[in-house]
Amino acid sequence: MSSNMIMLKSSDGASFEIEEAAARKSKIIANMIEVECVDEDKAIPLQNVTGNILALVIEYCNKHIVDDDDDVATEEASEEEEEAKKKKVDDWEAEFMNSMSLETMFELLLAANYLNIKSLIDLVCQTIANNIKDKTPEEVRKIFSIENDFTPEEEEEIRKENAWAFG
Amino acid sequence: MANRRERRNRRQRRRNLRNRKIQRQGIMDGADFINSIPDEIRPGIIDSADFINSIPDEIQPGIMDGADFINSMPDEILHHILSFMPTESAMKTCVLSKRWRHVWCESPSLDIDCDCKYKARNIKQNLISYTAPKITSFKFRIDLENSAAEIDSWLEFAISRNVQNLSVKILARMIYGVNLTDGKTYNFPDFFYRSSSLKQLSVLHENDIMKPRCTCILEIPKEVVICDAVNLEINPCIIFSLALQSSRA
Repeated sequence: MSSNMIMLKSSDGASFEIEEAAARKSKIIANMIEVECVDEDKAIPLQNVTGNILALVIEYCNKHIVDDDDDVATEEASEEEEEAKKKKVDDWEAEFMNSMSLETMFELLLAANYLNIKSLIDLVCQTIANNIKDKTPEEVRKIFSIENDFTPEEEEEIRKENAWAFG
Repeated sequence: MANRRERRNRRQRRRNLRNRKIQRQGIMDGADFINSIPDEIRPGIIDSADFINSIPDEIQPGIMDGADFINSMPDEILHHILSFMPTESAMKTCVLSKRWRHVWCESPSLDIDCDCKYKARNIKQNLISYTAPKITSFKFRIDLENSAAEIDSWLEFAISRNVQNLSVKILARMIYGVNLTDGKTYNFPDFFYRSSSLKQLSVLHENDIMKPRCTCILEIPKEVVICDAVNLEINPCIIFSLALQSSRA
């Protein structure tokens, strides 16, 4: 089964070949395979994903091809083995996320959401969350280019309501 | 088009590098210092707002041509992002912009650490604006310095919002290895065992007082069935995992 290759086509016309097992990380594609609407000679068109983002998605899926279905808890497996494996994956994921810009990160998040790849959604959201928590609102606004559209009075009011949190 | 995108990407990357550097600096010095200050005095610290605002726009990275990706994300995604941080941090996002004003209020995951009475009271006060009808995940830590009524009220809140996955940690108050709450007990109220929304429950209780209630757990009303209970009587702390299942299902 793992030798089965399928084709994916990005919104800007780039084609990618990917192992079926890797493509199945996407619930949407897995469903398509399930109901046999995947034609072997035809690429699956992905309207909402550009080529450069799809390449990242595929890189992620290929890396996670071994750890089967992420919905199944694998706590039962040998703990040490699991831990070593997890550490390796964690390191790779950290490096993977580190290598991309914020814009790419959000595009990747939307693509993962559209393709329904839960573990990738979680990874990106966790990375973004790490950039928000433990930071002041000013820092968060800066990192994510969020425009503060409150009037100074409004902001003062909200800060007062939450005085304990803003210190 | 492609060229423009490339240029934009490059600009973004550069910006990002700068941002990253700044973030790292922030993590290294400020963080530990601030964490080492007891909560009670933290509010007195002047925040860094004025300092940062005093930097001229030209050198503020990331602010130039605000691409503002995060604001265009659907609420569900923002909720998911917030679910990866303590609720206390999530609450703070209300001041970012109008888009963010109420985002946290509807997020279905809560992760609350009441490590002192002061904090417990304040977080609770803020939860008045919490509007999500259903909590899918509620992680909650509180220490035994809080009154039983206080702990009860938190559990009541969780159950009133149809909590599905609940993790409760009731912790002893330790200072320099001395348990300040030694001998203090907390018994879970009966309503705790009667939730029909609860799907997963994990309880950590540090003062070894879950024991007397074990019989109670076994006698829980018929809405809830225990599928699995392990390590009910390990000392000094009792850790168990229960999978609860509605018998009506």
